[in-house]
Amino acid sequence: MSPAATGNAAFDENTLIEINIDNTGDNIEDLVIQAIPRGDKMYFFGPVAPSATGLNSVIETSGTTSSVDITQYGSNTVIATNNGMQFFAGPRDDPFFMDFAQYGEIITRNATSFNDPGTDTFAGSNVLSIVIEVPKSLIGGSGTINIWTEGKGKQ
Amino acid sequence: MKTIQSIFGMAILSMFLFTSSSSDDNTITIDNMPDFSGTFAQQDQMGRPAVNTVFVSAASKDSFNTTIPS
Repeated sequence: MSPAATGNAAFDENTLIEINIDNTGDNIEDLVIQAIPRGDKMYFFGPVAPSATGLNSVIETSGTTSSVDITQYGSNTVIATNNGMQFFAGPRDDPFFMDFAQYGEIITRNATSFNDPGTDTFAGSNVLSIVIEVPKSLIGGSGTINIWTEGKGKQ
Repeated sequence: MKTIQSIFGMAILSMFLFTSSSSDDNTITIDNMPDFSGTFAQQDQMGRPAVNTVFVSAASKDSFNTTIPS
């Protein structure tokens, strides 16, 4: 989103962000970390074994409960710590970059290559972000860990 | 832990009410945690930028988003 649109952007209280962690190699989540906003805070639950795996979830309020004040656009970063974990929620600079205009020129054969340096079409754009740092000891497992994330809407 | 904290909080509140209040309102509501009830169903695969946008055909984009990522 553009800088002009960032100040009014907000997380949706009906959208649960769920980070799934498989530490046994079967591609089924053994632990989840859930994030959902309430008011001006982002709440976090877990890592905790979910009561149900797959497409439908309930909020696992028995898991370790953490929260952080959602950082407002242009304000100093607010980071909360709990149980060895660190949490952030709020707008960040979107790391995605591409010279989209030059890409269009190449596709239409008006140019043969990207320029050096190019122009980042998406420079300055922001994205609402949730950042969590978790100690390895809370994830479990000693080999490969599979992680995926879902956006889940309240039914 | 939460339960213990809640009980502890209620105990303190009760002490306060018994010692300093003559109110006959017996309803004590402690609402320190928001409502987290309900079922949440997957609507989006996240953290995989451009996969759906670029590699999934138009007719399949919705079903991609409601398929278990793993």
